[in-house]
Formats: sequence, structure tokens, C-alpha cells
Amino acid sequence: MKETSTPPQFPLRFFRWYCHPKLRNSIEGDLMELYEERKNKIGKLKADTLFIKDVLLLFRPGIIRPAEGYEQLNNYGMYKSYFKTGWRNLLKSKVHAFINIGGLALGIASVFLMATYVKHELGYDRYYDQHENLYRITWENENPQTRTPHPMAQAMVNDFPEVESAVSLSPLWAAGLTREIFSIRNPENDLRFDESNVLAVDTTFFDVFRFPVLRGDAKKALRNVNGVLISESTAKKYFGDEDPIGKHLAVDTETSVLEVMAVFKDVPDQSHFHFDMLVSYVREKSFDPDDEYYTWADFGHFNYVRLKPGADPKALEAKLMTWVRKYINMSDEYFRRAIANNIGFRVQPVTDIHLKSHLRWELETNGNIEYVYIMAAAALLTLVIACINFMNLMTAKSTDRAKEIGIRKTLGALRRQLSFQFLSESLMVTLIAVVIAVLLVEVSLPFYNSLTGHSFALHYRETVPVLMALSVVVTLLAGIYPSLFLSSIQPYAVLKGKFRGSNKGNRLRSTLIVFQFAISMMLISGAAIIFSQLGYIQNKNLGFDKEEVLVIPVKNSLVSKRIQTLKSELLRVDGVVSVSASSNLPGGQFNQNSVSLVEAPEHEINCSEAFVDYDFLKAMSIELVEGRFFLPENLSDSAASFVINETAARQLNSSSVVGRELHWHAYENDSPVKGRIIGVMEDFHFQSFHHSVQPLIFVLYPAYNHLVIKLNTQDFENKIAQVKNVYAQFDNTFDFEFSFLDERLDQQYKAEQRAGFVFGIFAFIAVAIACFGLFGMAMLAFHQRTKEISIRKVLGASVPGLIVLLLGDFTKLIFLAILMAVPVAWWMMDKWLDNFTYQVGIHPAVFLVSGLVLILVSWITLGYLTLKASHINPAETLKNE
Amino acid sequence: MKKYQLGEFEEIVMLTVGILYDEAYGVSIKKEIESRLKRGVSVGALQTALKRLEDKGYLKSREGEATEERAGRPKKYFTITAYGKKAMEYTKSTRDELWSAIPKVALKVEFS
Repeated sequence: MKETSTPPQFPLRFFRWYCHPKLRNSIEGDLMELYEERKNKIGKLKADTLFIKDVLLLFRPGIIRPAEGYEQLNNYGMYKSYFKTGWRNLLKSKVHAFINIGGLALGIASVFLMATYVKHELGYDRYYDQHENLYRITWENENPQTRTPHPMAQAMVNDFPEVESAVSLSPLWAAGLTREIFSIRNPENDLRFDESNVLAVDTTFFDVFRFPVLRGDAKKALRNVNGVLISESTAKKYFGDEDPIGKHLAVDTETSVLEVMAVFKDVPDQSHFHFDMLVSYVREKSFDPDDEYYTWADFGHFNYVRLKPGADPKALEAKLMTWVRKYINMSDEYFRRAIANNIGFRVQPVTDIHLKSHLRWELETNGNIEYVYIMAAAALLTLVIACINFMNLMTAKSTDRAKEIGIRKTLGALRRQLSFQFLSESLMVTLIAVVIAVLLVEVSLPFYNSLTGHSFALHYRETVPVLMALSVVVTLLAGIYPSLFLSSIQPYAVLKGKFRGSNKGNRLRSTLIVFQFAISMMLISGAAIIFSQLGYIQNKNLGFDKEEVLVIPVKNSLVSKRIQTLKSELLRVDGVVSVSASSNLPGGQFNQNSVSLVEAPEHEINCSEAFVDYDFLKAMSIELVEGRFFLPENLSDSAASFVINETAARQLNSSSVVGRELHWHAYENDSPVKGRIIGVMEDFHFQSFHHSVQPLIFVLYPAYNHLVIKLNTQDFENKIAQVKNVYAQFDNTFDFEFSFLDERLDQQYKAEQRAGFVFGIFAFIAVAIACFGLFGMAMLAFHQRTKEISIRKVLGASVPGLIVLLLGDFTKLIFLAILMAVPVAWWMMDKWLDNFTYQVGIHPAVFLVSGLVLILVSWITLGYLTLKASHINPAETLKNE
Repeated sequence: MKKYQLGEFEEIVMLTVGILYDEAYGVSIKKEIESRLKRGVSVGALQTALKRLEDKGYLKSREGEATEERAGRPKKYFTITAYGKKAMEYTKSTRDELWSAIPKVALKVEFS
């Protein structure tokens, strides 16, 4: 007997470990056989080596066992069958597939567009490093404002340990707080541009707004009287690819030359303020070091602070009022009153400014959180309507699918597996819808951008995960109920032929239809009310004539001084009715100061102010109620006379104010300007309809920002060209620009117009999807009622009678939906209208018309199906009975 | 007609299985190829080819007796299936076709 010598154990064990179990025995046999033979022939050592070589060479795909076990434990085949049956079902009822996929695609596309918008709106001011520690100090009183005193910023850093750094900044203002326009020139190559985004800032600006400085030393630049910091794109504009550091920029009429000392990165779009150039406060102060403007007395600067991480802004806010008495002289009584009335400084997170801050003197027009909510809600509701379609159609088709379910169940499918099957079907539909939605968004984005003024683009790397999440959510939202409903069908009932759609299911479907149409109704009536309010605003009498009024920005201060000559030159142009000039125009921001009658100095009122020229009332067609307007022949008018509006007169609390003397506290510490009220003009809406008319005072003073020209002509193009020619003789520094007053006024309601437009689109999409669903449901319902209709016909029902019968059921539901939607819509739109002081009022007719429209649209949707159903031939349909 | 895919080595294995008829199992096939073609065949290459051919349906297998020199492991015998036969015939006929399509002159290689 030969001794049993075995091959080396380790390779053998390794082989046994990796080898596919099905092959293991036979291959191991082969190896053993070979080993025996070799051992006998060429010796154990060589046999061992060859054995190891064989084992190693066997280690290859096909021999190695699969990692997850070699038995097929998965149910891939079953999943495949789910998708196959799902796909076949889609193909079987193409109308329903179209309704489901199309509706979901529209819904997802709307949600997607809105998500982009919402993300954009919510993403403001998150660009700065540690933006969560940035705050703006604001002043809260009866008329809250963004501006606070200049020394406050540094005082806060000195006195509060939690304030890490602070900065004061201020746009360079022209008269009446309109932004000053500078003509800035590169002296080397004579490139000239108009710049209005120029800020004066403290040296600490970049400590607070940690903003990337690309070249140069920002700190040094901000200490320099003649230093200027410019943005990257501004640098490119003036200097091309040359290194801008050390180059010069000449301002306006060459009175001053600035040296570019640093270049910063462009301010991103999503910022509540933008600037192209920065100059130092050091420079501004050097013009007039003793100006009250830089003291605690003038609440005229924008102050921002950066708190230490973890500091509590609310605690800081609570300390501010007591602290500020160190610097501002405040009587005990005033202080007590202020505390009692909650007057004081506020510490406002910078990230909240864009959506939540609507104070006096915002640096730029902010967005509105309400619109973000409204849009998001409208988009989500659209998606919900689409999901309901899916639920309804899927469950309504249960009779068609009952047999499949019955058979699957008798073959041993668990309820869980069936639910999964139907979920996977809805996933399939959703995925197709998502793909179509992405295409829709791609196609509609340019239109959307041009209508809303945004510049959104699809970033696939960001959106793919969002889309995946959205697909899952939609799948669950739309699919969970049908999957539970369908998988609960009892096989014995189906296979015995007793299965019938349950009443419970029908009732639920009706409820959902009511819900869909209620949403549609809300959106339609909401859009109708938004549009009627907009129409109301556009047609409401403003108190002045906004038509045919040409506005030319006066950028050159020299023009103001020669205004009378310019006016007479312009009046020579045929078609020019009158010419005037002013510092501010309706629709813009107005500076405010307090005024009081000399006889009653304690009664001060806040009054908006404007510097105007003699013909302002005439050019704007504003009526005078009492007294007279400024007259050129009356020389004293330019020194000490005021014209105020009716509201101001009323608030000054006097029956007749004309001829009385007024104190205008234009400069806080200097003694107030004293003058006589020479006239009272009719109230006109110099602010948007969001506000009621405020007190207003006109002062005759040549600090004009706008030239106002009233035209009466058909040929605007020609007249404007002539006006341009005249104007160019007076100002050759700046480019000629113009706009029309009515266009400027419309700008005030841009947010509303946008909202109305987007709302209208959503209302339209929602109604379209809901009607798709209605069509699908009616198709199924009429199909299921074929026999009933046939029998009715046999028994003598007329076609009109049948139409009424068929339409009646659905009309009842829609009517119910309308009834339910009206109070909700009424309440919501009432809240929206509260944004306006001047409201159109909600007229019941709006709801009546919206409701009628909805019913009509649904009848049109059902019309074809109803006609088809009521014209069936009973002989055809009943022949099998 | 569906294409039969049969690699060069696979074809050799198929042919050898045919030659050995009832005696075709791992070691015997290996030895047969080695002795006829004078080339070494590793167990790994052979087993992979056999498995692939079986998966394709060209070969079928049955378990045979266990012998002592195999340490009690059964032999796995392979036979050609009808489908496998078709595949072999197809391969042969395509070869033949190609051969016959070569003009005589092309093969008249002159040694100089």
C-alpha cells in the first residue's frame, strides 16, 4: 500500500475557498489525479510546484465563485416582470399614460423652476466668509430706517467685546438721496463710463465683509485720500488686460484724479448691495471734516458689524439703547418713551435683508419672502394635482387589473410584493416624467429668464441628486395609495368574477377630484385678483399725469445751474409743452426730514422733500388747492418759501396753513430753515400704492437729478432726437439717456407683475392637468357605465337627457370644489391685498367668473366623451348579453 | 442564422471531447490535447473553457465514478450536445468555405 501523500495543504485550502462550489469536486479530483501521477513520475517536489501553479492558474473568472453566493437568491426576474407588465399597461392605455406622464412632467417641471427661483432667493448674502455672524444695525421707530450714525460702528467695536469688527458705509448720494452718477475716465486712453455704484467705506470694510481682494493692499488703499478700489470687471472695462494697480481714473470734470490701489472680486448677483468702486471715508471727510454728517447727530450711514462666533445678537440689541446714551444726548423722558414704545436699534442678520427687510432707504430693492412662499406653494400644488391624477387613474383602473392581481396572489405573491410592484410602476412613470420635465425646463428656461429677469441655468451636477430625491417623493406621494389599494384586492372575489370597484374607492376619487378643482379654482381666482389689482394700480388716478412725460437724468451738476436757459431752449422744440426739473420723481426714494410750524414747534411731522423748479406742477399736471406755486418773478421764493401737499397741511393740524411760517429741519444741528408756506398742492401718489400718501414738501433749489419734459406729440422718436440735440449743448460729459415716467412707475410693481404672471402660468398649468385627469376619469367612468347608458337608451332616454346625466355627476363635483375654494381664496387674497394701501377690493364677480370659466373648461374637456357616450348604439354594446 | 461563437481553444476542446467520446473528463482531455498538439494546457484554462462551453450549451456533463487516485472526488464527464455539434459543423464549414475561396495561385508560395 502506498503511503498517502497529499499535495500542499495551503494551496488546496485556498483553492477550495475560492472555487465555485459546483465545480469544486470535479476540478479537485482532476488536480488530485494529476498530482498523484506527477508525484510518481517526477517526484513530490516538482509535483507540489506544479500543483501550486495549477491552483494559481485556476484563479480566474468563471472558476471563482460569485461573491454574493452562487445560488440565485435575488428576484431580478420578478422585478423585470414588474417593469414589463408596467410598461405593457402603459402601452395598453396610451391616453392614461399620456395624462399621467404629461401631468407629472408639467408638475415636476414647475416645481423644478420654482425650486431654482426659491434657491436663488434664499441664497442671498451667503457669499461672505462666516456670513452668519454679519449683522446690520438699523433704527426702529414709527418710520423704521436702515441708516444709523457713522461713529456708531467704531464705538461698538470699542465698547462691546462680542463685536469683532464693524464698518460704516454709504453710497455717494446726490441731492434728495438719489445715487450720484459720476463720469469716470481713464486719462490714458480716454475711455469714459458712467458709474453710479460707488460706495464710501471705512478702512475696516474687508474685515467685516471678507471679500476676496485680488490685487493690491485694500487696507492701505482705504486709508488713502486719493485711493480707489475697483472691481475686477471695472478694471477690465477701463484698463483691459493691463495691471490696473497704480493707474489713474479721472472723475467728472477732471476736478480730481483717483489712483487705483486694489482690485476686488465682482460682487455676486445674490447680494443685497452692489458696488463697482470703493473710496475711503477718509476722502469724503477731507472735503468737510466738520460736517455734521459724520457725527452722532446724523442717522445717515449704513453700519454693519461682525460678531464673534457664538455671540448673541439679541443680547447685544438689548444693550444698545442704554449704551448709546453715552454718545447721544437723550432726555430721561424721551428714553422712557422710546423703551416703552419699543423704539431703538435693531441688530439685523445680513442674510435676512434680501427677503425680510423693507425699511426706509434700503440699498437696493429687496425681494419679498411672501412671494417665495406663494410661488413655492403654487408649484407644489400643481405637482399635487398631477399626483392626484395618477392616484385616481391607477385606482380607477383596478377593475382592469384585478385579474392580474388575483392570479399573482393565487400564485403566491405576498401583498408586500404586490405593493412593491405597483410602486415600481409609479417609479417608472415618474422617471419618464422626470426626463420629460428636464427637457421642458431646458426648453422653457430662456423664456422664463427673459420674463423674470433672472439668469438661471440648469447645473446637472447639482440637480441630479435633487431630481432623484424628487422622483422618490413623487413616487411615494402618487404611488403609495394605489399600491396599497390594489394589493388589497381579494383573489377569490376576482376569480369568481364578483370583483367590482368599491364605493369607498369611488368616494375617495370624487373627493380628490374636488380637491384638485378647488386648488385650480384658488389659483385662477388668485391670478384674477392679482391682475385686477395691477390693472387698478395702472389706471388709478395718481394725482399727476404720467403719460407722455420724458425723464432725462441730470448727471452733470453744471446743468442745474444753467437750468433756465436749457428750459427755454427746450421749449422751442415743437411738441414740448413744458419743461421742469426736480431732485426726485414719483416712484423713487425721497429724503425725509421733520417740519413744524414756527408757532407750534413741538408738533413735528416727518416730511418727504424734493427740490423742484418753477414749472414742476405744470409739467406733471398737479393741481394746486390753495395759494400759489413758486414764481420766477418773486425773488423771495428761492430763499424761504415752501409748497406742501394736502396731507402735510392736514398733519400740521391747521385749517389753513398758507402764509404761515414753517421750520424745515433739513440739517440737524444747524438751526432749521425757516420759510413761508406759499401754497398747498393736491395729494398725488409720489410713492407706490403700497403706501398711503405721505407728507411732502417742495423747495425751490437748483439741485436737480431729473429733467422732466411734458410732450404732446405723435412722433416721439423725432422729438426725442431734437431734445437730445439741445441737451447735448449743455452737457457733453455724459451720454444722453432718457426714460418715460409711466415706465419708471411701472417698475414699482415689478414684483407684483412677476408674481401675477407666474401665478397665471401656474393656474393655467394646474387647470390643464386637472382637466387631463378629469378626461381620464370620465373616460373610465363612461366606459364602465356603457351598459347602463345602453339600457337607458333602450328604455327611451334622449341624447340631451343622457348628456345632462353624464355631465351632471362631474359638474356637481366641480361646483362643490368652487364652493370650497372661494372662502380660502378670499382669505388669502385679502391678506395679499394688505400689501397695498390702495386696494381694488375683492368683488364676488371675480369668483363667479373664475368659477364659470372652470365649469366651462371642464365641460369642454368632457364634451367629446359625453357626446360619444350618449350616441352609442345599444344594439352594439348589448349584443353580447 | 445565429452565429455560433467558438474560439480557437474552445474548438480544440470540443474536438478533443469528441475524440474521447465517452471518456472525456478534465485530466483525459488535458492529456489528449497535450499529446496530440504538443502544447501545454493548464488546468485553469481548460476548466474555464469547459465551463464556458457548458454554459453556452455546447457541452453537457455528468458525474462519474470516484476513484482512489482522485482522493474520492467524482470525475466530470463531458459529451457534445446536438447544439454543440451544429456549432462545430458551422465552424468547420466556414473554414472550408474560406479555404475553397482562396485562389490556387495565392497559395503557390515559391521559396527562393
